[in-house]
Amino acid sequence: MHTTKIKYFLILPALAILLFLTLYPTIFAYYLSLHNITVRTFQNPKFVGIDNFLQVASNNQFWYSVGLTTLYSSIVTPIEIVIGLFLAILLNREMYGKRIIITLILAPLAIAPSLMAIMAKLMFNEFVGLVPYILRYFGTSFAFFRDFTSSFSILIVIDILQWTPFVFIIFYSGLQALPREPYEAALIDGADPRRVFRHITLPLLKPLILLVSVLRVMDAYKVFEYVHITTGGGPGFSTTSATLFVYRVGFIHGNFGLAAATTLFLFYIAIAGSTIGLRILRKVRII
Amino acid sequence: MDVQYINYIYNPRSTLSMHNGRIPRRKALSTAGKVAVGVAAGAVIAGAGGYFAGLTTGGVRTETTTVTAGAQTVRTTVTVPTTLVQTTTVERTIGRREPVTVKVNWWPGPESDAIAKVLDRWNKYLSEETGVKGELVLFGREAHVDKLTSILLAGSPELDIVFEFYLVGKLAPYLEPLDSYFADESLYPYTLADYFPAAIDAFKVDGKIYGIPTDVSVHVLIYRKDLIEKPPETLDELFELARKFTKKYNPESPTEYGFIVSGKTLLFNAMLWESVLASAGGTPFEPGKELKAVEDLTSPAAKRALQLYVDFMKNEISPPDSIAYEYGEANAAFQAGKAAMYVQWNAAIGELRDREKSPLVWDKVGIAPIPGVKLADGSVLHRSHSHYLGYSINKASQHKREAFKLLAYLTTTRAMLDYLKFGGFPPMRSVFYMPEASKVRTEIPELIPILDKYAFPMTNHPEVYTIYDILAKHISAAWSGQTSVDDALKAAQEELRKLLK
Repeated sequence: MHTTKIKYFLILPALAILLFLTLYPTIFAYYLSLHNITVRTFQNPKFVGIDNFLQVASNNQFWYSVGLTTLYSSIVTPIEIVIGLFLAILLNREMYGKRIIITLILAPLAIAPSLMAIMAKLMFNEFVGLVPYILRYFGTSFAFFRDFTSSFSILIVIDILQWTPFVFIIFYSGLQALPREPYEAALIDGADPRRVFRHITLPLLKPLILLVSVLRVMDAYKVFEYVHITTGGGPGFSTTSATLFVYRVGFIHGNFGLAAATTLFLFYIAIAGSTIGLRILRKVRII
Repeated sequence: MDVQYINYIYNPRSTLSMHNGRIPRRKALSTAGKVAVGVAAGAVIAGAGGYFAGLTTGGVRTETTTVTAGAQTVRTTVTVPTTLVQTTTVERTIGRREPVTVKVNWWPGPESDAIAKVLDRWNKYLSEETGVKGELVLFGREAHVDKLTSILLAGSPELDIVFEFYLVGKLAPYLEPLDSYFADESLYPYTLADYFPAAIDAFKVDGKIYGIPTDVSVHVLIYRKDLIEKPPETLDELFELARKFTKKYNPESPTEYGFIVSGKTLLFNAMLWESVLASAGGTPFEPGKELKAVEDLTSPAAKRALQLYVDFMKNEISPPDSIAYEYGEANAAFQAGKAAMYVQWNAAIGELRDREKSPLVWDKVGIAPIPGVKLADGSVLHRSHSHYLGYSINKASQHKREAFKLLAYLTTTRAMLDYLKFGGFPPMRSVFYMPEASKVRTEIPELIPILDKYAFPMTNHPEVYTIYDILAKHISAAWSGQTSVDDALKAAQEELRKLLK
């Protein structure tokens, strides 16, 4: 009994810190979302009920940014999973210079997303960029960032460049940890590599695929730096992600109440989206 | 003027009054009073004793009490005549103490490099005498506004002097009004009349001054003077000349593009376009004219200004990916010798005329007013958006008066000349007209007429950021061809109407 009490007592500091860091901001976010809080009214905010939520719900630009972010994450996640898995399988064998190759593959992970965006912007710049230079060398040219399609494509490329290594390293670790017995049995049975991959590797990696999908969708949904730095959400409003929309409302327009309501709205959308997503995955027996 | 300031600072009595945050007057007088009562009582006893003893106390008797308050030691000397009708004088002597550190916030870049050097001088030569030491606190340029806003809203005293721009209207409730400080001649023996007309007004909210300008930003047309003999006067001339210097239309053109549009969806780019709008005869967002500017957004002048940029983009007179350009990329294109003209902030000129930074064009950079439209009298309308960077005092600061002493110094010609030499661009006439100023900043003679005749101040409306953000979003959509000129301006007008209603 005495030991039980002590253990609760011992976790108290950690619990207090955790509550302070999670509960307080959550409650404060709800408080903000129910008030008209701008830079000027910060000290005397007016209670507005669910007005901010109604404003968000009726804002076409908000729904556009949610749709765009969903499209973005649903494009980058499968591409990164496919490339990451391919690289992991490719390197999951003894080969010369493997360590160096893995180090090089992982290098983009060590770069801050904002720096990655700046580098990409320079890399694709018509006058000082490496990519247009190479294109010119081969007698062709292409203006990146000229419209929505090209700008959006560049954003996807940056994400894939930076986050495929993350997917790769998880799959690579997973492949290294897979049991050897099923493979030996398949080899004795004369299964070809494709069948081995389809019927052994893939099923064994399913939990990891799910984990990576969830992590990547969550992360991709929060895309901010790439958009903010490269396109600024433009041309026009066309590449504005949901987080950039919140940032604009909160920090450019200074409307903290509306920004908090938008964030909570996004939170509810994310919960609904992930629940539906998991159900679909279960239904099609991917997990 | 500086000598006067230093002399003034050397006066210990004045220093105490200036430092009244350190030693409250009430406390000093109260202590002195207590001592006086005690001494008077003692004098009565001593006098009575002396009378009865046949002795005289003779002359003046002095008692000293030492009071420690904060970093200072105040010695209170009470002079008591031998008569019972006493007069009490309190002398305050301030002992040597550590200077108060005033935290000065800036953003990294040429301005902060310049102010760092000015502060170094202050700390070296004036810190001890004034009892104030300046310490520079830099925030990242990208997140400067976010962080500054958070600190001010939280009422944090961690910064004393804050560097802000455009946001004075929005942040005024969290900034110290400076009128009373300026009105106090003992505290501010200088003048603000030396600034360019709009500079001080830019920091006024509801008639009160909340800041002092340090830098002026104004838009100019930058052109290649080796290729263009006479810069374009009108918007039509601008378009024709830009076409002439675009390879697509003139294979002989030495430059690939005739003009650079800074087209990223960015409020600063909307400000750049605003100069073209105003020069086309449209109504810009000037202080107090915001609603009119919104109503005039669908005027023929506004349509013409937007159509010009759309034509630049559509006809590839501007680089096709310039739709994602901002300050840096536009400069890079010009520095690479790829473009003949562009509208830019005056801050770029220093970099463009620097032989090391711009080896291809440093000696070919021309500056002209923004091209406009011909008026009925035959003259051409030129207008340039101007705004000011400057500093204010955090309302939550615990060292406001000390902070003001440092600010006051920064309004002197001496300090601002140094600031200009080190990379800043103060909006002060006296500094601009000094021969040594033009030696370091060759653009000054070209900029004076633009500042004097064509510059209009940017609005200091509390929603200034939102105004330009909305404008940027819609005009950028038109530049990229996503929407028509009419629709873009109409959409911007509707959203801005809602905002300002």
